[in-house]
Amino acid sequence: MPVWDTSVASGLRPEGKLLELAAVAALAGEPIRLAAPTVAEISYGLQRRSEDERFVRALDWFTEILGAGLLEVLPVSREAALVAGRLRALHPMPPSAGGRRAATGSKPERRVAWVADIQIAACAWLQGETLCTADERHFGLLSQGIGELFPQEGGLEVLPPPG
Amino acid sequence: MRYSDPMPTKNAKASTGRSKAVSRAAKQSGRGALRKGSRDSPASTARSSDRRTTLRVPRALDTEVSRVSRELGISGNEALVRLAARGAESARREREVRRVIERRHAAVMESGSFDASAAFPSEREIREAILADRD
Repeated sequence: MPVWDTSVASGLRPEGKLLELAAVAALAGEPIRLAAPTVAEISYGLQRRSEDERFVRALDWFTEILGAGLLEVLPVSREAALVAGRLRALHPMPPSAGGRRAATGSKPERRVAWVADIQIAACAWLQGETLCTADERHFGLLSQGIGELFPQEGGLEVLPPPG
Repeated sequence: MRYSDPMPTKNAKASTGRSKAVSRAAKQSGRGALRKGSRDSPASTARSSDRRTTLRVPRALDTEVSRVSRELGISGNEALVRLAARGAESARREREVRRVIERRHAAVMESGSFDASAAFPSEREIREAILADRD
């Protein structure tokens, strides 16, 4: 089963299409996977808006579906940490927005998000899974980087979001 | 507790059967003054009311018991009790750590009961909150 990047998993909501896909996969015994840094990005994003009760509810709901085992969480293993560190040395900065709408976060926050991308790529690649992402620009670059580091193994397979 | 911690005396008379090394160590550590029923008695303090038992000591453990007995100049029984006390302490700590781990995991995974009819942020709002830092 593919790994959903944060750009995909952030679309999970009750009665949404992504939840339905995740439920079908889980019932088939092959749950959709999220890398641990994606879980961190989602919980961070929801927690920082916790002054709004609706976001607290969204965080509760997300915690509940994780606890229920609807999604499988891939840890940042020893190997993933090694890959992520090497990948970050290769690409310390995210690729420039190239005329696209820039993120609203500060520069340091964007770098934190880039490190999360790197860890997500490392987790997915080590599992031999494809990564579903709406951010092909970032993950395309990281796939190349992994290919450079481990030419025998090939890079990370990147797919657009489901549906 | 370390196995080299001395087993304190029950009382002055009881020390006659113990090795001089233990008496010395007990005095040095200030534990020689511990009395029967003292609140800070270590687990390895044997009292006459304690359970007596006969047991077979596996060869591998016996090697360690003999080593400790030699190193500290104490009897084999005393060495065995000290090692057992140390093992009991480590088992207690493991249990405590397991309880802490379970409690903390439960605290993180605890969520308010979800009410499907309650207002939820829109998909766009959620995405913006989560992906704000991405280029």
